[in-house]
Amino acid sequence: MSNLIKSESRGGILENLNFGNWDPFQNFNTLLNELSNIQSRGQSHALIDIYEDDSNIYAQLELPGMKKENINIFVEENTLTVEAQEVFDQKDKGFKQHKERSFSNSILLPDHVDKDRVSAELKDGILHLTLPRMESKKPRRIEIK
Amino acid sequence: MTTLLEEKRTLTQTAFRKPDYEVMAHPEGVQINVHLPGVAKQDIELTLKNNILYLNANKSKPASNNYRLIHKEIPAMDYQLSLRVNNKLDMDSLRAQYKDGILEINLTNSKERKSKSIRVS
Repeated sequence: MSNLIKSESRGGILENLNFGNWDPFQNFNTLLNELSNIQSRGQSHALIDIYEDDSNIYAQLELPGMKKENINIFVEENTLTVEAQEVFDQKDKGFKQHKERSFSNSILLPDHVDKDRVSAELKDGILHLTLPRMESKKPRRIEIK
Repeated sequence: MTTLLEEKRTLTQTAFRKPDYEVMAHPEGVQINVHLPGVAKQDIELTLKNNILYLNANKSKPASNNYRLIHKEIPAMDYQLSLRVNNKLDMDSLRAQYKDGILEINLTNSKERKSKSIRVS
């Protein structure tokens, strides 16, 4: 969400400011439109850690409460995207509750990742992604003759 | 110098992350959902003392130290939260279950409150 505000909304409002013919209502409407766009997109950024060792790159994303079936992971060219969406309706205990949450993260993959062998596991609200290095790109030890 | 280092170490050890949580009131009582991603069930400690609910949860540590860090956003700190519980709730009714990184805590209204009737004289 913060990324969206930085890259689009705030810049958009500032660009529309024209102090020569300042129209406060126009700017207010622009602000409302920008906020409405953010709300309709409604996607949050999940916190992510990325590690590596000689064999793999590992990414961990915080997705508390998300079910496996509500998470989509796809690789397009050099970008891996994780999208998760939860629509929650609770009607027991004498009250109704409706909640919607969605997350979206994109990771730019380096060339040495084998995109066909990416695997994922969901445990205790953390999505663990394993991105194997291509065999030919793994660091190899060179013996001195 | 040693003292400063020791102090820094103590400060690092006592830093905690406050988890996100939601409190929902309903006619039967309250439900509290605490977000604890990365915590195993056995590492959650929940205590109710003097109407304050204390939660401590230790994050699972990586099995190997051979990883090299590329990018970090998730705080490495353990979770800690304390919430004052309304005394109209039955403390003995506390039930908690953990699933998919969410701890669901339920407390029901005290029976005295439920069955209280006022006689009109």
